[in-house]
Amino acid sequence: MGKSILEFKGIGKRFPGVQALDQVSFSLNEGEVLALIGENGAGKSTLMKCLTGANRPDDGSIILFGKEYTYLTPKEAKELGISIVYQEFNLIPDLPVVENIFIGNLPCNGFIVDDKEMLKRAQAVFDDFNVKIDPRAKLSTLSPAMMQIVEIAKAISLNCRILILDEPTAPLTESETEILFTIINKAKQRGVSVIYISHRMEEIFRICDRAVILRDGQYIAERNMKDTNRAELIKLMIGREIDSYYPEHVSVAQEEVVMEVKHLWGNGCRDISFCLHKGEILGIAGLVGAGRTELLSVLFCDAPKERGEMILRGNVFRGKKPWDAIKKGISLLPEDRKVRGLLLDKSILINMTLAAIKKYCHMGVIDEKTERETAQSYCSTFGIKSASLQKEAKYLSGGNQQKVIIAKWLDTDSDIFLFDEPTRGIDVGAKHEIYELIHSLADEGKSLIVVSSEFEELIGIADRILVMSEGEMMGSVEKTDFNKELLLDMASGKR
Amino acid sequence: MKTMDRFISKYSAQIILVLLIVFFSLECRGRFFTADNMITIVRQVTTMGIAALGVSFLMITGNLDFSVGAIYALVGVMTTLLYTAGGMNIYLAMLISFVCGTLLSCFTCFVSITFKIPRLVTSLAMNMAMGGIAYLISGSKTLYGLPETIKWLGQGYIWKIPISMIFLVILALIVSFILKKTFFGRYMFAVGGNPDVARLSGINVNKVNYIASMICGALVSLSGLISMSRTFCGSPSAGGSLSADVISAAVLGGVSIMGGTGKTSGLMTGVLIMGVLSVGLNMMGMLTNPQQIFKGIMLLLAIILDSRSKRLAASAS
Repeated sequence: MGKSILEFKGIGKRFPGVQALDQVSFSLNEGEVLALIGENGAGKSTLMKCLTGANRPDDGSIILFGKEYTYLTPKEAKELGISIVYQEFNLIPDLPVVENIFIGNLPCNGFIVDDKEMLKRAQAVFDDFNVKIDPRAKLSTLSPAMMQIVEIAKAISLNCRILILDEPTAPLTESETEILFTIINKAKQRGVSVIYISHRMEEIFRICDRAVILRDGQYIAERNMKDTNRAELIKLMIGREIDSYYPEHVSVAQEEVVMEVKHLWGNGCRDISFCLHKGEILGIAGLVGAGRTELLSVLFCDAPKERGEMILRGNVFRGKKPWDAIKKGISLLPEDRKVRGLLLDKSILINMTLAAIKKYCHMGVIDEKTERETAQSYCSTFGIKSASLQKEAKYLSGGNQQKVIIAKWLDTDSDIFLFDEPTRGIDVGAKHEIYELIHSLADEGKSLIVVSSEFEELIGIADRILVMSEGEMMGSVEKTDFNKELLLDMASGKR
Repeated sequence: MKTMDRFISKYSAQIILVLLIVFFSLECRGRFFTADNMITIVRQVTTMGIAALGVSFLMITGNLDFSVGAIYALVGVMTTLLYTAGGMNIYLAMLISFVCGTLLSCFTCFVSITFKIPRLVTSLAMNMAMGGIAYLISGSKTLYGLPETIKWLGQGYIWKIPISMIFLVILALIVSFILKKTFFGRYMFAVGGNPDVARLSGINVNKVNYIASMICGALVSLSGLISMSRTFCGSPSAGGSLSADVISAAVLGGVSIMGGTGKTSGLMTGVLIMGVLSVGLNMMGMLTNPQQIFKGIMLLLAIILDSRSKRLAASAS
């Protein structure tokens, strides 16, 4: 193992009302991939902001390349070779790839940008990574994985020594994640140290050398990956044991078919047929671009269907708009809850009752008392921990945000739930709660379709899994045959 | 310190209004803060206030409209022409103009929705076209010859209170009630806050936009009629800078240009700020052109404050 290049010494950071970091000390070695793990709010992001200069620590110091700093400015951090890649990309979609890489750092002859030099250097980085990206292509034509790689290339072009990856695989599929891992290994060979923040345990075990665990702003422990296991890390992260990662659940699927889709075409979906039973949790697996989200849009009448039939409880459903679907008891938990699921600036209350607000109205006027009481009862049944119903949705944790959306649909008396990536970007403890919630919905006789990019998650919670590839249904896998390799094979186009 | 900050950001419009009144009172040595002058200000702002109530429906649903000034002028010109040249009953003429103004606002909405063009752009084109019509049919002249019977609307009093002001207060209360207490208010905030979320929650976004446009058109047309009655003529230039003034007032009062937020109390304060400014600056002897510069700067500041508070809120999350 290389020598230590970075050391946090007793870092503390207070925000009004919270001690975000408290006496955090650990070090990072040269050419090491270090996992920084902890639940949301554990202080990972705050600590990384201290390193990139976005936050100024209140106590302690940072030793970088043998020199001690009480704080860093963003400029110093950049000059010392610290780069961070966020899960939301910091790139400009309309510019070519190459300009995105060198923006802010354009190679110039006097006033004139040296295009050739720029192209040559970009190409060299991509060749080194062994990925095929045309540096002249417009960024917006790239897949999320390729954009991620461009972000990393940008960091490398700045002669980065410490690369921070914050949830880098959240938007990526499993095959794209492989590409990312190859690149991390390449960077490692160049002597770049990587701090890897992720909620996905299997990835951490594959790519990282060592893990540092934070909880409630404090340093809890560190483990070499080869000396630990998933259960131990989860226990350290949440401070208690989770009985098993995926809660036990006996399928309650009944014979009764609540939704039948026959030869459905539209929005990129091609000839989709399947049945959804009462009380069933039906997983849909596939890679990004397989058409899973698109299929849910068609089912929810948010995208037009060109051909085919949808039969709900024995009757042909000819809805044209989302409100038709909602009237028939269908609901959608969208993929990106912050952009499509919630009014972030509005309160928990307003978000919860938005879809069924007319229920509370007499002559158009809202009965606020009943509304508040209902919302309050959802908060207590779901364990939404918030001081007040008036709290704005943006201040809630990811898990609580999802619960608010689920409550919204229970309020419309939905019984067919379409869940698109319900646990994306949510910490381990909250994921567990969402799984339990999904199971309890099924127990109540609701039917669920769950789309997820994590095969393991679907295997853990679904009763049956449909696999899609390029808009087509590749087949259906029963619970007894669940197996990751099989799903991956089918998702990549093998029948 | 924290509570102080919150107080200031919550009541910024009210604070600005008080500061302006104090400033003009000192500057004009007692001539400003008099009962008569306050009535003058309120009378001046009633038509603008009613138009602003209408525009607030659009702004809350996330639309900026620069054509309300043209509707405002067109309604007055049309009524006067229908009465003087067409020989029509004055109330029928007013009703027809009112309906036309309302429909024109709906038409702007129709174009925006059908061709997926931001309302800002559509309304600029509509403003030119409707302004053109107002000048064309009036022959670019101010039209006189209205009957005495309509004076009550813009110039009448009940117990020394201008009737138009009573209109404003009643309408403001109704609008405030709609925004706060009805599902339609919730729908508007949802559509302005995030149309995707609104649609996926089963809200008919287009329908909400049409209704908001209709209400806006109706309120602006009403204010145009009141203004016609007060000035007792139909003038193609009546709209003037109304569109921009109303948006300034709304933004000053905390109605976001991004949509999704706004309160009637803030809106009315914003309207009063604009009224105090123009009366105060007049008293100080400032001419119209420098006043325009001043108002332009005010709007700029208001927009900067608006986007800053949005960003502050975003960074807090």
